[in-house]
Amino acid sequence: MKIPLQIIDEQIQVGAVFRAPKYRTGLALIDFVVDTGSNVSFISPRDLMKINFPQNALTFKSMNYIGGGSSDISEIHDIVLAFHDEDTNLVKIPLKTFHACTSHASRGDKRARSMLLPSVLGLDFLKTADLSLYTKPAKNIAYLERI
Amino acid sequence: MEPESVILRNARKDLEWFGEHYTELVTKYDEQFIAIKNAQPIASASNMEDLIAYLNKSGIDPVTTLIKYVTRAYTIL
Repeated sequence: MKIPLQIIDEQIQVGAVFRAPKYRTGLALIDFVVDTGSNVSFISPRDLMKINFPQNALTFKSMNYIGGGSSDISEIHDIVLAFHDEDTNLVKIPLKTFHACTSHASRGDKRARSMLLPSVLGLDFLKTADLSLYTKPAKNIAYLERI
Repeated sequence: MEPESVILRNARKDLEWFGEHYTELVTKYDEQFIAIKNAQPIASASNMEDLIAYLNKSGIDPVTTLIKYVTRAYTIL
């Protein structure tokens, strides 16, 4: 099974449908950057805003240092990410634990910068979902694979 | 077709279009958030709040719309 990815501006990107029944968000499109340099996967501040995620449901876990700034990381539970494989079959990946990234700042430059962060699928996601990343940027090829 | 598949099918087209037109989008919309639907930009704004408000006002569901931030600057995560 292969999940095709896009390489755009030297970033590996993929669209997924996010579902979190516990938080009543409905079906939401999140486009992720696949970043194996990140040890945590998360929904970004701007995507949390986009999908109207109930921020009062978040439980702070730790601070995160990313892109030169700091943000809060909270755990969210029992979500499903859905992708299309190369044959456009639906691949649903249930995750007991995922993360939401929120900004400390309520306004100003720091908040504006936090809104520039994309949502990220890190190495933790690949490990949990038992997926491998293959990429050959020179040929514009990238995909996740489960053998 | 399952609703997830409908969303993903449309998102794939929009993301592919976004990638193919990235250079011209950056030129036109540098440091803006843009909403893309049916393989074209439908709205842009300098911040997410304004873009989401515009989409809601226009009857377009931001939750299932591809929204991207474009910039000439390098991105280091």
